[in-house]
Amino acid sequence: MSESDRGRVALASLMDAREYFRNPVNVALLVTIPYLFVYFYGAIVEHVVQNLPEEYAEFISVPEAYAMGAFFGAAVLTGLVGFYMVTGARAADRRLVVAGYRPLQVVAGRILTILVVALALNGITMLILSFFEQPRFPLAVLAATLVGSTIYGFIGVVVGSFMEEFEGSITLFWIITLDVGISFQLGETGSAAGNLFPGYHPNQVMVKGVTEGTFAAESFLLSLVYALCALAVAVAVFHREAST
Amino acid sequence: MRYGTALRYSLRSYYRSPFLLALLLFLPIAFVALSFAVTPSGLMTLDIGETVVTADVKDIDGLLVAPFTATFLAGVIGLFLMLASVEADRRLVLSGFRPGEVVLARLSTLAIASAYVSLVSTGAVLLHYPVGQPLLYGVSLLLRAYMFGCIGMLIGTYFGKTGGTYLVFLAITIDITALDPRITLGEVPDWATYLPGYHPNQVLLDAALTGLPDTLTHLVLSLDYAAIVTLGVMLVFRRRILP
Repeated sequence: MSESDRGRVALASLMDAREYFRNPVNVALLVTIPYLFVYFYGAIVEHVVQNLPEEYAEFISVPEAYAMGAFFGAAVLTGLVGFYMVTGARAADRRLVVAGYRPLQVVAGRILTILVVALALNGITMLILSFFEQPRFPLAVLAATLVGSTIYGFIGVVVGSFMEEFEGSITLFWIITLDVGISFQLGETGSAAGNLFPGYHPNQVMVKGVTEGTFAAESFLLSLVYALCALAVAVAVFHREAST
Repeated sequence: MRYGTALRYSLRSYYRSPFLLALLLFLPIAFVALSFAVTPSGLMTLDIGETVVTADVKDIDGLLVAPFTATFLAGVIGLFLMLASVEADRRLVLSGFRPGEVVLARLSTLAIASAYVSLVSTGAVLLHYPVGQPLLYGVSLLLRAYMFGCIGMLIGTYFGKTGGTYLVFLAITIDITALDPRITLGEVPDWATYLPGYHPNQVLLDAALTGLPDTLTHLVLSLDYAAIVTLGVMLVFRRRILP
């Protein structure tokens, strides 16, 4: 990539990020939504576990519940960022291409923005999580939520390119909620069906990091493969949107 | 007559999209089924209003997922109703419609959509749990969904799509979390009693789990709350569509 290419990608990304972060509501919600989700999952399980026989606690521990809330909150927000980026940027991207940008430069700028938002969001989420519960291996949890929410950022792009905003926002929420629920239920069954769910492998990394204090390298690798596949589809979709 | 025309056109955007209708049907069914399937069993004692009940956590989860789904859908419907229709409604007013007719048509659309998602959610719950008073349970869902639909419309007035969707999501999460009987354990914080979902939630819990000791009071207060948010939407929407 030439210096001119890099400059254009950086400029496109900077403009995207500015559009997102200059809205104080977006910034405020980047903090409050993860906070509520971490609290929502953790507090329910904490209260339930206190009031139930011990075997219930074996199904889900309190630290796992807090981490699951962090994952869910980060996934929803990053997914929506990817989704609204593609629905809101079509016209602007096409103008950039008409003005001389190559479609790939525009696409790279958008992808970079999703990664920056995901990184910022996960940093905030981990900070919030640490107020409630200290995972035994925080880096594993960060890696899991980061790669998981990035996958959802790319899924948001794909959903946004095929659906109207109304249907798409509902669909995205539906995909994430079902995935988090099913991925967690599949647990460590090693079921082949797990490979179909975007959240399954990140969930494995997260659970191991929270409960055993270890890093599930194989699951992380599979999460990265999933993320790369999702990235490839997102790039193709963005490229088509910017070119047509 | 003109109200009927406005309502018909407003509803057309829903029924001409079979995918959307399927989504609004499938989502509550899937969420409720998943909740009953995933949540492990375990008996828990809950203090609900004046009654102490022992119930399975799995059932409580399923009973509470239905309002979450219905309110989320209604909230997003309200949000997009406001975001997508203001320009068209302004043109309708310019062409001779009275603002009141247009506002009423939009609110009726929201009420019908809320009734649809509430009906589906109630049906989905009944497939898994024998709710003692299904009609009351459905009414409580409808009231909560409609109120959050109105709140979605108010949010849509002042915020864009991204911030608006986040805010709807945030408002519903606060409402559901703060009133979850597994968290409050019978001691709902004072501030949470002012939330839109408080009274419908009491009706819902009574209809599903207790012997309806104080349902009428909460039902009337829910209706009052719904009337207040409706008035708020009417005022804001009317001002937005006036030329």
